[in-house]
Amino acid sequence: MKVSLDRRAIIFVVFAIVTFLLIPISPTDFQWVGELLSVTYLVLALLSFLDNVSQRTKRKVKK
Amino acid sequence: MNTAELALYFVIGLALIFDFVNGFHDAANSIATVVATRVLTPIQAVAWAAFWNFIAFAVLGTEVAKTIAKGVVNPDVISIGVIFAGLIGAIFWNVLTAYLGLPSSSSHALVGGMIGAAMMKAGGHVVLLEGLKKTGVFIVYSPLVGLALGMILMLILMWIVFRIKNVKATNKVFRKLQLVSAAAFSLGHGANDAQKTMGLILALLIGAGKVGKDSDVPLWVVLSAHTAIGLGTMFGGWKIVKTMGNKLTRLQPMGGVAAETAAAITLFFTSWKGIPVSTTHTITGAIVGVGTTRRLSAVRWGVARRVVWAWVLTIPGSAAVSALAFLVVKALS
Repeated sequence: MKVSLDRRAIIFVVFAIVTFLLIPISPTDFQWVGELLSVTYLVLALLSFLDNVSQRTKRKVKK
Repeated sequence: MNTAELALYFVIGLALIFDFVNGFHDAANSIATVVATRVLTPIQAVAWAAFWNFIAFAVLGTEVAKTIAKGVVNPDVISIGVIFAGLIGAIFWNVLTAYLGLPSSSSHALVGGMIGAAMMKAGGHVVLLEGLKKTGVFIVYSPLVGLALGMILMLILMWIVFRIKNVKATNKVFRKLQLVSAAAFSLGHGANDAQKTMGLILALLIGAGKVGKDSDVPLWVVLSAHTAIGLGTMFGGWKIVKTMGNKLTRLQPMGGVAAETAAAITLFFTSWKGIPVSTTHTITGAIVGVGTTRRLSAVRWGVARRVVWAWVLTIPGSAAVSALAFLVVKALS
């Protein structure tokens, strides 16, 4: 089965990268916000990817 | 009363008008989901939001006001002319984006306005980088926090509803819960947005020597700012309701609860930490987050793109207008 990232997962990865890049320019008190957001969006991207894979598998089984 | 005092009270009046316009412009954010899901009629929703906007002063502190008054530009350069020009820039930007139906940020228009006017008066060094960085990074962080929280809350709610398996009953519960979430969001909106006007007035009073540099926000300033934003919400702009509630993504009561709760949590946190954020950015992110739990095509990305452009252009746009306004003020005086 060909495995590729869905659009939603790609957008979440982009958000993770953007928030990661903002960490160094964030005030010290708020760097944790960027770190937390980066990790959260990576997890959401992974979940989105897994959701997409399971949906496609379901569709294939139905066929 | 001398001319300087007259000018001071005139600019305070203008700041309150800005607050009114802010409520008018952002009313849609507080009530869009509750109207879109038909939990309340537009008139009921407006009254509900205005009440919670007003009450906010009793619940959340005045840290955002202090950031605006002392944390964006060096308070020593703030004069009546700078605040006046900054307000002109912000009001012009708000009216323009309201006319265009773009949910842009009144808060960043204000920050941009102050920066533009202060820079025109005394040069780039008067901008306080720490405050600007705090405001700047949260332009990106606040909608993304709203988006992530909106999505996570929606997933949790979907999981609970999936187990209950009684769609009609759960819809009924969520319609009632939406009243609570809309109230929480309006509370956050009132706290964060009214405080920006309080900050401006505090800066003016410090500049005019009416209060000390370390002074807290006087009670009459707190009350008048909340009254102005509450009244603005009462007369709210319906044009943006359509963009927020229907054009971004279609919402059910459960989605409305998730979006408003996510946005309210974000606003409570930022108000507590003294960060001026856009309520528009935050609720937009939360609505998109709820939409993405269904499928990506549920979100109208074309509209979301226009919103992002409005975000990017707000600070430079309002800064440019207020810089020009400051030149006019200087020439006239």
